[in-house]
Amino acid sequence: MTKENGILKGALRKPPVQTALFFAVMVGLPVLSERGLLPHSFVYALGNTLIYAIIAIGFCLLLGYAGLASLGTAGFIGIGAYTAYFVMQQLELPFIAAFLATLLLSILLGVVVGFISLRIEGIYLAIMTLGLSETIRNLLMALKPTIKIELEHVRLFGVQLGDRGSYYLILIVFSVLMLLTASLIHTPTGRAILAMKNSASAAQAMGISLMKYRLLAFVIATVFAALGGMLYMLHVRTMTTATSTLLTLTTSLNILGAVIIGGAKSLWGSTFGVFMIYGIQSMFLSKIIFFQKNPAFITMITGLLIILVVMFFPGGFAQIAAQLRLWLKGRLLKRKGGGV
Amino acid sequence: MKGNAFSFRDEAPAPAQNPLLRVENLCMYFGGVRAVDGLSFQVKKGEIFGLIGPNGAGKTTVFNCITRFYPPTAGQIFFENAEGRVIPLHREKVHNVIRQGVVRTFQNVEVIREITVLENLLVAGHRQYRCSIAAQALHLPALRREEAAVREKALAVLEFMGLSAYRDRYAMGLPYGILKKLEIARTLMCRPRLIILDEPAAGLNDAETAELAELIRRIRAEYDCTILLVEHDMGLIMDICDTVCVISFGRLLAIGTPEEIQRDEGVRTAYLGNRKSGEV
Amino acid sequence: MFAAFVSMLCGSLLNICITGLSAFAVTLIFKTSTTTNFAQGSIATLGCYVTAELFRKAGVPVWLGLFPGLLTGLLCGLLVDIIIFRRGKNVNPVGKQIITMGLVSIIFGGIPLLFGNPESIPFEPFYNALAAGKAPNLFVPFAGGELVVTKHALICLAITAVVLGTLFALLRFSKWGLAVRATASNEYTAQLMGINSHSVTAVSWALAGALGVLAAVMYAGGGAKIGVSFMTTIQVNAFLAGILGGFSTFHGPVAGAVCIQLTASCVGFLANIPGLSGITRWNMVIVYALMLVVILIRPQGLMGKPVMKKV
Repeated sequence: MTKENGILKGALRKPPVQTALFFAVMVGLPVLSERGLLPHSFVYALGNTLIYAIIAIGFCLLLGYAGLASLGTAGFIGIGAYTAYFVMQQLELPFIAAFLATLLLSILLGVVVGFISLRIEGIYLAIMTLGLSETIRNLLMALKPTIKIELEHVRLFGVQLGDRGSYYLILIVFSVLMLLTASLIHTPTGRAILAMKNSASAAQAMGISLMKYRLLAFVIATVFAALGGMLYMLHVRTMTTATSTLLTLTTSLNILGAVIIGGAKSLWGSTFGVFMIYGIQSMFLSKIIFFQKNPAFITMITGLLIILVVMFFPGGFAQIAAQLRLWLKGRLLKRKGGGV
Repeated sequence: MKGNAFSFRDEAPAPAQNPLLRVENLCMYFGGVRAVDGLSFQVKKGEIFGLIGPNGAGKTTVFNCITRFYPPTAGQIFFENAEGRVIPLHREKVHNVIRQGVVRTFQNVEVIREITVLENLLVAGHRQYRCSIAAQALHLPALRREEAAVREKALAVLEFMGLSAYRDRYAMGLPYGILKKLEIARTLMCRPRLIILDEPAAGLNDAETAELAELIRRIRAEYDCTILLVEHDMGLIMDICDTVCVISFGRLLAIGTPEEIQRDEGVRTAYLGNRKSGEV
Repeated sequence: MFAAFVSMLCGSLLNICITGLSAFAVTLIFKTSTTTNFAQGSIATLGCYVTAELFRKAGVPVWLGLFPGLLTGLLCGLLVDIIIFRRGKNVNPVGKQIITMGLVSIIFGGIPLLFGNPESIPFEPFYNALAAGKAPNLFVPFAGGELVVTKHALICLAITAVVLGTLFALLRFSKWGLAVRATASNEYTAQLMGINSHSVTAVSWALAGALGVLAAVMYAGGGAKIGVSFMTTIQVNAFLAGILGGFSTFHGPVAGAVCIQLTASCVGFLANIPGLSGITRWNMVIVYALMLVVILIRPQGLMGKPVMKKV
């Protein structure tokens, strides 16, 4: 019995199994909403939350593993969103073109920021990336006050994507990226990135090129954020660049907060953090009358939660979960011991 | 290949042999401060070379220049690599120095605290992986093969260093002595030719220092490499070094066998002060 | 043309004052608590709401209502330090940044709960020239043209000069200034030398809060539409001014703030050149891009000294 248990537990630690489980749960939800068991807006909000989760896992690698604090996330999202709009709506090219253009632009941007991170570090880097993000926001505002993709242009391989279609697309992208990132962490590359964060000097002395891995970390974070922006345009289809909070410091800070309260070194923790900050609000609390009347109250609770977690559980929810598991195990052993 | 460490000192290296490391007219200025000022010395193959000097003499700066952490203001550093070619080390990038077999430890222990002892050694074997990042993200079989090979090597090093018991412990929270050993273990992961130790005995007690002396000799014998160290513990230096180099204010004061250094008048003045000026 | 140019520069006086004050406040906290205070703008906004509320509900003129506003900022800063930052000494710098971000959420959520969510909030400058039946602008003949300066900007300039001048003098010559500089250099050593770093950080937070409110009231008085996040841009500029001038000194960030606003004016002035009239739209993009390039070239900031990392 214990052996089977052990195998099961071992399998649960494997990224492919975790991702497959998550996928299996999420893939059924639109069907439930079709049957009327879940409100339609729930699935829509879930799609939005998953977009933020994609951005968060890229940021998790950057902050938790590479130790680089960036506040440029919003700008990177904006690049993805605008590229998607420009390629699909203006040029009327298919999705794949938008995807490749977003990828290319975000890799370029990631390389640029990576180079900046070699010259400027720590809090200075955070402010520098904030400046970059503001530059991009102002650029988008100057380019177009409102960007909008008509539903008829949202096509994937010739098939028009509705709300459900874009939800599945988001889920697939999330699962693939999660799987790749989770696998990468336990490879020489993942260890090199972590080594760089712990001691830049030791890493260099052991043959790790700061340039290569900082660029890599920033490219991953930037690409994930830009893909998030692209998916946002496919899912929501419209954005007012002049007023959208998606492009402001608030978004960068929210993603940062989600990763921190989830556990900076835990990809699933970060995903959970996103559900705490974005998901609960849009999927559950917005249905309760009191919160509908006082939406500001949710913001306050989020803020309070963030402060409490940072002060008392620096490892975030991942740490809370680990401690809870230890405690439960202790209780269980005690009871077993008593039984014998 | 593997000579006996204790008889090693008797068979002095042949004089015609090229030096392993040649530092020529090395200068490192920080603004107006001349940390290293026209320093030249040679390290022979297979010797244990001690670099000593009063606090602030520029010892660590010399190390940092050799391992390319600092770009020297002037001067050249030549190193004979595994193929027997003499290469200008001062042209290498800091993370490529290890490819030539030059590895180092740090004055204030720099280990990767968030991963286990074994994983620390895997990080040190970083340059032995050939897989592309894409292959790594997909966990292709090629990666698994490489990982197994590096892991085996790491286990052997842990065994050699007597760290096997700590294999799966996180480096965070391990005792200082173990961390210092871990740092040395890390240097053994990549066929070292020159191991540079920055104050390996700092913070160790007498018994641990004696153990360290033994360990350094064993490393030289087992790995057939050259060792260059900075140390303040004179007992250790005089015990294990074949050659001792004394520097003061970034300049060479004396170089020779431990016996010669002990007899040197200039060294005594540098360490104890000038009697005429009335200092102790 | 030249008069028009100088007039344009005068137009940025108010922004210089606001950004300068904010930059100083950010620096004060950066140096004593090693964090970038993202809540700087929100605390300022809260104080400004108090002033606005007194003006709207009780008709208290802004120059008088400023003081309760300042007090609010002062208390907010003080509370943040005492309740949160003093207990979070062991939190790492990124953690501290996130705490201030949590504060932003709390204040953003709290303002609508306290003050409701009105469409527009009436406000007035310190000296309400219109109400007094006078012109709000001063016209000064200059180099064959005319300089136009708002009276509000001049009053703000005077206040800023006095406030910052006093603070710089205090930092340089007073015992408190020495304590701040010692804490900024190394908190633990400062404590060992008998400096009460607790009171130093508390005073810094209180002062930063009050300075923020002062800037916010000046900004709103200059015609900015008061809203929950109306100080965000100012705050972002203040941070950038900090690294542009270099956080290693106190005057660096203030100089950085002046640079940013003057550059913005200059770029805006280019629109007068025929063929470049479209440049206004790109104004901030150009300013930010220029600034990023300067910071890349001099990472230590315009006034900072480069530091060599020790291995």
